[in-house]
Amino acid sequence: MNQPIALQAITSESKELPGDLAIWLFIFAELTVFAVFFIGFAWMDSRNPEMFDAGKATLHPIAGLINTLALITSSYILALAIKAAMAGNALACRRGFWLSILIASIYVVTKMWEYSELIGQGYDLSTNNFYMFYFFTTGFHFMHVLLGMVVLAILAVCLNEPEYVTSDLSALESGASYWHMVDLLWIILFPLVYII
Amino acid sequence: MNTHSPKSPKSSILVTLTFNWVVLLLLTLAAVVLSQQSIAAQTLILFALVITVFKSQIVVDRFMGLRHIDIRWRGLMLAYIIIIPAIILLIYSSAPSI
Repeated sequence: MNQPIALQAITSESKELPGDLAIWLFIFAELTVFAVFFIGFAWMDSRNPEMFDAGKATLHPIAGLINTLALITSSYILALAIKAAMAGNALACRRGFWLSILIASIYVVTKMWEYSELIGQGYDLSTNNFYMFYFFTTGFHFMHVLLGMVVLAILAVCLNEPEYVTSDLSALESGASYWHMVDLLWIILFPLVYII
Repeated sequence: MNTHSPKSPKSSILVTLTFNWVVLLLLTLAAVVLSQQSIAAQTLILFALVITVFKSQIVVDRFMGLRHIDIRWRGLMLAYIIIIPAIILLIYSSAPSI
């Protein structure tokens, strides 16, 4: 029996890149920039182990864990929302986008708490190379989280018009792809800062 | 009543994504637990980076949905999530005091 077209869209795996080509060029540019930060952090850590170990001891691994779980869960909810959009379910998609933003706000609150704790103890960008790398790299990632949340919120508002899921699925996929990239970057950053 | 109705494609997608989400959570917890153990630094770095590669692959293939797209695009992403941790591993391995 033939499946409905919307269902075919989510069951038959597409060969097309999800979202616009432009967002993927942007994603690869961002990944390249972050690669430099990752390599720089690892290099400095491996060449200054005492300084970096002492710096890492002042961080809060539980905060890092909470942030990782929050971003992974937010990304998962958004993946479900995109599947709902492909099935033409605008309401489920819109709810997914807002829930994803809500869960991402856990990351924002936790990260700001960790920053305020460190700054309260007198650590900042100028303390030493560890804090310079820590604040700069995680801060740059934090900016990307905020930008991603704004993008998702704009798309969620657009989803107030149910037709948006069919008229501009590509925009939804582009926003989601950017958000997954933010998640991916944190997945690489997390072990560098909190585990290794 | 049909108690053996096949799973619908939609619920199958939900199950797949949920399974991958749970795996991501478990891998994250495994990395944290590993970091609390008294194991050699090089071993910890190796395990943490291998876990990172597995987690990244799930995000790229399942959440981003690149699993079945043109191999050139997927290959670029997979290259990134393998090469960057490999470089990081190389950097730590070549460090004089680790």
